[in-house]
Amino acid sequence: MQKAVSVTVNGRVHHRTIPIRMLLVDFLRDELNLTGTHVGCTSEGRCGACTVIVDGNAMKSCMMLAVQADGRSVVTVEGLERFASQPDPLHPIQQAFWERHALQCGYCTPGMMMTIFDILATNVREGCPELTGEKIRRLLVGNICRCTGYSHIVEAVQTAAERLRAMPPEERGAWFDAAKLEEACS
Amino acid sequence: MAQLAAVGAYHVPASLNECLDLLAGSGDTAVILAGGQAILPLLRNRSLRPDVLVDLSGIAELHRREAGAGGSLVLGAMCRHRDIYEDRKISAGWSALADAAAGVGDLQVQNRGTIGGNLVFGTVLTDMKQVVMCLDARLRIVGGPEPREVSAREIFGDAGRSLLEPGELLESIAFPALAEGSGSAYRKFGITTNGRPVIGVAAALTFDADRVCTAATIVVGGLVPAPHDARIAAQVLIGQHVDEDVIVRAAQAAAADIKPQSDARASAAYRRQLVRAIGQEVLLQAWKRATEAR
Repeated sequence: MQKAVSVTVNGRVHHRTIPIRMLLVDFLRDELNLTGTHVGCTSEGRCGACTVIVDGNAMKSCMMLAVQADGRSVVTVEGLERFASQPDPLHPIQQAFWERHALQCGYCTPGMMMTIFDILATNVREGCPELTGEKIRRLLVGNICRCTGYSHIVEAVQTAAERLRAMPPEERGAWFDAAKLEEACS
Repeated sequence: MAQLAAVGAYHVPASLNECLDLLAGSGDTAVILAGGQAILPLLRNRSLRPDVLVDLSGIAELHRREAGAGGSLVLGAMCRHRDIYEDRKISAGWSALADAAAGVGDLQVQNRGTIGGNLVFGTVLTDMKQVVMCLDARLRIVGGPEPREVSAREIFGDAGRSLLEPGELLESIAFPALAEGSGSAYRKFGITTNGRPVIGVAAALTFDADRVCTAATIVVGGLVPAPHDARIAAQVLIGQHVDEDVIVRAAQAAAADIKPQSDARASAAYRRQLVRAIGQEVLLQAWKRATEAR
């Protein structure tokens, strides 16, 4: 059976009629052609490559039906650069991945970045306390990098956290405010 | 593209009554979705082929997190693991519960998975069962002829009893306030970080003003057919001026008290060793927290 849904993805509202059994990851990839969200295991929640932000929190889009995202706001890896208000197009997470060589084959990268989005949004809300390597590793336990390039990924999180800490407080939150993407689309 | 079995209908009831009517009307063809973190893989591999999906996310009362009578804590069944461990009142007053919630799966699972789903899901090998037993929680169940309450210790300590009858729903979990001078903790060992517990130990200790242990509960999970309330080990602590030696002896007693199974994840002997090691850590942590609380 099918159901009509409207899902906000990266600030844009999408109306579709879809099968109830469709996973959110398939909705993003096959209905919206947002193929940045990856499938690294057989959609059984093991690898974290399909992680997206739903209503502010990181979730695996293979562990959710698309109908469960009806009326919700989703941010995918494609949305990251759209948080920038200046010509500098990269999100602090992307910039830090670039600087710290935090990707090798790149397959896990979209999922890593979206989990890190939640980690750093939380860190910013808490006033940017220090993020230890141990804490970052614990928070990233649901994202597997088959290249095993974890050290550089952890360093990239710390680099992004430092950059955010150096910003005026009112600027930090803007990098994580999905409502900003909606304004840009309207 | 992953292809699940076809689903006939998907409902998001806005109230508990609407939900119970739906469940009563759809018999055993319905599957309930709380956070879905255990159910989605089963839908994905077609172990489950429901005709009707009932999603509990729209029922506001199931998301509540509030103080109950006598300083107790009442959690609606849809409270997410992350809501639980980020709540400072919970991490201070019911630390074992916060420890367990922070150890269920990864961040993404904690963002969606719920305490109710964890308790209702049909395996004993989860973290929450031993924790709600240790903290002497009571479970409120609706959907039968009358709403009813059951003791977590009675229901989860006895593998012969099932939590829910057909058409019933776990509505909330109430945790009594711990006595003054109490501390609790939970730790586990899993094959992967934050994986299902091979062994998980929950402990709650209470001390009087002279630092004598007046109450102790140690519940060991990761065992089949049910978590074990290690009362003999608790007796090692009660009435004692606790020190590290007493804690080591209590953890040894807990390891002797259980009847561990051997399976693909660990031998019985290794499970006993885990109870000794994790039991010591948990008891030390609970002791430390009780001391800091006083």
